[in-house]
Amino acid sequence: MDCCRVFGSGDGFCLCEKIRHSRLDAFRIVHPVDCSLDEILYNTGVTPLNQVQINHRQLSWLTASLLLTSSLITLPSSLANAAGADVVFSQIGPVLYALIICLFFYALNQHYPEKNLFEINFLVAGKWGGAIINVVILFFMWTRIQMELNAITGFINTTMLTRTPPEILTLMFVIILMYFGRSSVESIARMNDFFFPILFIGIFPTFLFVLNEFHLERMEPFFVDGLAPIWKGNWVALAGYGEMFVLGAFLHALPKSKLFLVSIRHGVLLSALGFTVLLLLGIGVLGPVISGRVMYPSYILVEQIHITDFLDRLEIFFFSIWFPAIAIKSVIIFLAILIAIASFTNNRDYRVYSIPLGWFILATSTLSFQGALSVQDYSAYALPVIIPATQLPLMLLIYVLVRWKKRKSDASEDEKPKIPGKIVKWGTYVYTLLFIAVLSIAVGVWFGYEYSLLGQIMAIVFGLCMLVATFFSRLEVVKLKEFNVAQMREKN
Amino acid sequence: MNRRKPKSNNSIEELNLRYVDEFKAVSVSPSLKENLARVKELAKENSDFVIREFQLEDSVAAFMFYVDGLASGSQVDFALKEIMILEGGLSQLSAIQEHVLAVSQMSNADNYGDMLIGVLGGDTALFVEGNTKVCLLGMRGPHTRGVSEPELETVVRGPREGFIENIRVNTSLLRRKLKTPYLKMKPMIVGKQSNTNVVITYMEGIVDANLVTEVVERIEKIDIDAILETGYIEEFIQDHAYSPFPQVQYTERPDTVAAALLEGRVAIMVDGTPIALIVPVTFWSLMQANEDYFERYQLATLIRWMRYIFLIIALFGSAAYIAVSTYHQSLLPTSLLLSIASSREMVPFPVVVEALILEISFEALREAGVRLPKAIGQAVSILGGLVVGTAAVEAGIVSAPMVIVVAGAGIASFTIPRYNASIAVRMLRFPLMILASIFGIYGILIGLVLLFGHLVNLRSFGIPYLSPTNPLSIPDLKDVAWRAPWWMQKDRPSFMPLMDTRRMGDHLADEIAEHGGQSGKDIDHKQPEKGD
Amino acid sequence: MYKRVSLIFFLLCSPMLLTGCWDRVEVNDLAVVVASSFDKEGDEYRVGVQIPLVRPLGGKGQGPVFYIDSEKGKTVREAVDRLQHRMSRQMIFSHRRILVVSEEVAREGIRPGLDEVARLPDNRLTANMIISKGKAIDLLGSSPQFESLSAESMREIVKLPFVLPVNLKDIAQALNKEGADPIVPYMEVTEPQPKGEENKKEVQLVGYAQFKRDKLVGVFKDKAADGSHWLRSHFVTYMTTLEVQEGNTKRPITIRVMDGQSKITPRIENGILSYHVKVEAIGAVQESMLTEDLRFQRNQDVINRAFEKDIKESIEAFVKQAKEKQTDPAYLGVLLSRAYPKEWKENYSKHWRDTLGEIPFHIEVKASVERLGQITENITKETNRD
Repeated sequence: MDCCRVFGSGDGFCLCEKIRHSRLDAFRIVHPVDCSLDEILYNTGVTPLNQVQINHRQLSWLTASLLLTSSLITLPSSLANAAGADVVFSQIGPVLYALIICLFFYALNQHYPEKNLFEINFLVAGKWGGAIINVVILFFMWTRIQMELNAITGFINTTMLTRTPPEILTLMFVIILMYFGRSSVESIARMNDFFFPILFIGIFPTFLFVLNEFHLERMEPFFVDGLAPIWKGNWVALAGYGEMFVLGAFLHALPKSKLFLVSIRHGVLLSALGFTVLLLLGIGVLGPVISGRVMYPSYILVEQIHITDFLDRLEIFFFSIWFPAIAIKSVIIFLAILIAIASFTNNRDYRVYSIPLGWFILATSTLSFQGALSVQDYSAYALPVIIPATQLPLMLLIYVLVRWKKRKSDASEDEKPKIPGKIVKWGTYVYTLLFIAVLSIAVGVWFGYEYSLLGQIMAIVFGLCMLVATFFSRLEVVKLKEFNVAQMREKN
Repeated sequence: MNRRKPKSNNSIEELNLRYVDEFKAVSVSPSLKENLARVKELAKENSDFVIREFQLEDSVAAFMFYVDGLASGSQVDFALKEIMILEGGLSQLSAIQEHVLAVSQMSNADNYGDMLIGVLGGDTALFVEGNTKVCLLGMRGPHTRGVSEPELETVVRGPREGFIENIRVNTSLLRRKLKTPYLKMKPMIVGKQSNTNVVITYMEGIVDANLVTEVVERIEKIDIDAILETGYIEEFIQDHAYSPFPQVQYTERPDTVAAALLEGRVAIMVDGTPIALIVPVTFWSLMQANEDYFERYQLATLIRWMRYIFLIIALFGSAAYIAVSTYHQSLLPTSLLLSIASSREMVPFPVVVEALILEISFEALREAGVRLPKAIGQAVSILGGLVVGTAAVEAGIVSAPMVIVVAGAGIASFTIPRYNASIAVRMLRFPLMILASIFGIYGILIGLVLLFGHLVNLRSFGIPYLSPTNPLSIPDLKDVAWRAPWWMQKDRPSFMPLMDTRRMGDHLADEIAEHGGQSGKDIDHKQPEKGD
Repeated sequence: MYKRVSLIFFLLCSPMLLTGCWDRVEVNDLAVVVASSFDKEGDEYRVGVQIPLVRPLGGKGQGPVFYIDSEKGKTVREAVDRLQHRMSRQMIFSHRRILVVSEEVAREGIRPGLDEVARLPDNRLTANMIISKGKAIDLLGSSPQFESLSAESMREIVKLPFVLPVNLKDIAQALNKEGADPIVPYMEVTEPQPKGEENKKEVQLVGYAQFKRDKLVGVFKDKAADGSHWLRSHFVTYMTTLEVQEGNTKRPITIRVMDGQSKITPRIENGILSYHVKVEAIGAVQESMLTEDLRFQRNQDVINRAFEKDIKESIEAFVKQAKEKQTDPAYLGVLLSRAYPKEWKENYSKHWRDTLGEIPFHIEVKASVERLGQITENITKETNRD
């Protein structure tokens, strides 16, 4: 293995001590020498930038963080507007869409391991074709990160610091982005390891605390308005799941084999579950009308916490639990943009672009949107159109090109060990449960108008399906990991 | 460092040697007169270098060369006596060594460098006419200080001994804890002028050999003129030179070192200072005190949780107060807000300035308390804290809630067991306060994210700094999130590369886990209760 | 290279330090509004605020603890802005827990006045609203004996265990639905008997204001107010006094209703809608002026029946008053929409309040007085001598 393709940290000597190279050609192959990854890891203390690895649990949490966190702030309002009380069923459609993207990435990973999406594009579509495709994806990600910055800035400007100029707030956020742009996705995955569980588990104390204000019986029942609110809700919720595409930038760092698919699936389901719980809380405490009219229902939701005089105003505390996770999500998109830019050069070292890109994004995001409300509108009504319209054809195109290229050099695929049915059955369970969830919506819509009791039961069935599906996907991840570990032990 | 081929007839002055290392090129000559001349040159202007000339039987000339104060005078007399009453015409050094001298430690040197290192360490050099080897008699002298309780790390329950300056005593203290030949003590000499003895200790069979090699290599690269304290070494060997967080742990207690060695770490002891270094270190082990492991686990767990809470208070306390009272007054209950407002009516400064004044005074008080002799130190801290604080509040310079917050945060930072970690925390308070004063809670959050990002990137000898929380390794959390009782801790922490991961056998641990304790076979639990 | 970088960095940072912190408000530059009032004056609203005064700690100020000021404006915020023009400290509303609305304004509709409640981040939806009899600002101006601020005393009264908790969020929810109307505590200013100091007045909870949509149409008092406790999702305790027939006289007995469960079910049979209210109640005797010993079952039966009758009358009074004014204070419409969504959507939701008057209510009460306190009969009663 090339040991010189190692150093992420400045000038240095190659481990073989014979060739000296500078930071800029750190990632080119200079002098092939055998050294093991362990040695490199150990001696430099730094995982080389093109050898980063995220393990499966970090991957699933990373995915969930990507999808859940910013939607927390921006989407619930438009969702409640579009879907009314049926907003709790709005996650199932986007979950299916996200699973399609998962499968696409899995296929890419199978054919081109160790390469990320952008490099694959260059490989299959040539220099110019790949450049065009990458530019489209880059544009999408750039828009997304501007929206993120604007949304966060708008949120803070509206709720907490009302007189501070928004540019300064964005500047502070961009400083975080620039700092993390100089490290790798591994360190952001590690941060996520810490903050995402706090976010996710913190949703449940919220539930506990607002229980005294939770009056579901005062709200209109579910399923009464027919199919319209449900598909409208699903449509708007799609805006939050378009970010899955960003994971393509990290394909070289992710676990290989089926574990990849299973972890991402788990992450998607986790985020859907968390979001559904939060929406349910919003409906139960505030009601669909208020949720639709308030710009930030989640924030107003935690404002309602009033246990005693002492535990009265906890919303800033909850915000400080959410904020790191939101920052992490923006950093992930930022890193993806950096990787995309770096893929245009021969190098995988993107750290030198971090600061200029930060300034660029600061400038453009200040100019691009007119305020938090236009971001919300854009996100709720424009994104659900843009996302399928750009991503689906792109995915199809890339997949076709990959299969075409690979058809020529077929044959030599490694024998992958057959995964025992015991583990695959959990995956099948997950799919069945999702199918049942969709069915329950259908039944509820069909009959809920006449027989309201049936509608309520179907809602409960839906909730249980989501919960159990998440649980089963976690089981699948764990069991598959054990299986892989056992396999590797056998090999050695 | 130029090594020139010396001529054996040159005097030391002509050779122009600067460092003791370079003396290694000068070899001992068979002519006693020459040796004597050279040694007398070395002893010029050194009142504590003693040269004792004498003659063996058969008028073979010899002399002893030692440093007064380093070598034990009585033992030198004893050795002299042994040699001078020698009968039998032995003039070969080897013969004298093997048959005559009843000294327990002996070694040979054939050049001036080794001889000087030995003599300067406390050995006595015996030059005999006609021998090109010098005999070094290891009769090292009295210790400087008795073993006493370390001042930095006092415990309620636990051993009361701490390291002292003499490295031989220190290694003996450690050896008493781990009586096994696998406790290796690898000697090194660092420092051109100081030639300090540095001992690297590790448990062979547990520790990863790569780690030891790495430590040795890093220390060997040090090219400084003197090592006076382990702090010098620390700054040379750490992974990230610019981070305020310590990547090397230091301690004064042998039991801490022993426990660390058993976890697969490496300790570095330096002659002349009682502080030993332990590498590698993680952030969570900086938050652990060794007393946690001596007390019962319930108490230790509670105290550990308290420490974590206090860590957050120490870091964010003043900043949060500033943020809340100037930006987010809605967070406070109304009556608290009104009482804070009434106590701040007379204060001319904004909250930030007040906080900075108090924080800086607190740091000054603390520093002054350390520098002053013990008797005055107590009085100063009480005076400063109580009287001046109260007077300042009454004069309206600072407000009472601010004093409480700053004092609370200061005391919280003292609950962090390791001093270097608490310094890092105290330093980081100031940027957080500034950020809080500009942006409120948003500033604190930005600071938190940046700080965490920095911590996540740190490594100490390759081990991620925040193991075992990031990267998450759930079995190891039993020593971080709480303190699992000893019978649960079967494995050593797995984030360290180790060769031997089991700490104890299964049998007793399983039994305790199953029965909830031990039940004696020989004690009859079913005795009828007395007292009918 | 490093010099250049740091120079640029400092140049870029210095503007930040020059401008200062934008949102920073020192605690002593704040005027904390603890209660605000809402009156009508001609065409405009008159908004009053109650602000506690901050005395320096240790200072021997015996001055007033709070002060009240008010101003007119076409909108609430305009009035507040005019008010701010004569205050040296910035008003913040995040501690405002009581919003007092005068009856006059309520009769015209509270909806417009509630716009600013959710719009500004300062405001809290957890605040309580009170309708005042007469001018709202009088309620603010009363200085009750216990608390130093009348806002505090109003809030504590609203938080007493036997008062229905209604906050702004509940009111907003009731207002934005078709099938519900809000009910709000209704207070007035009274004087203690015998009269105390000159300007020390108390605020008294009279009952609950009855709204039709957002306009005040009546007040639930006494029995109707008691009945309102039953037609809610969570029961709130209250005390009632019954008259029990004993021989020729009626004697009073006071019972606290400790625990209660009510189930309101709408039922549509043959196209006719009716509501079935099933109530189970448990009472505890607080004071009995009866001569009989309550230990005996036969006496308890008598009391139980009187108790049931009393509860039924309360509920009926409540429903009657609701129907009279064509209001729906108990989320009856929402209950109907949950049980029969189709019928609700197609038939009832359009003219809900008009049809309310004809809907029959079947009320079933099962009540028992299970707790007698510490004694079974008056300890000073004479024993029977044989």
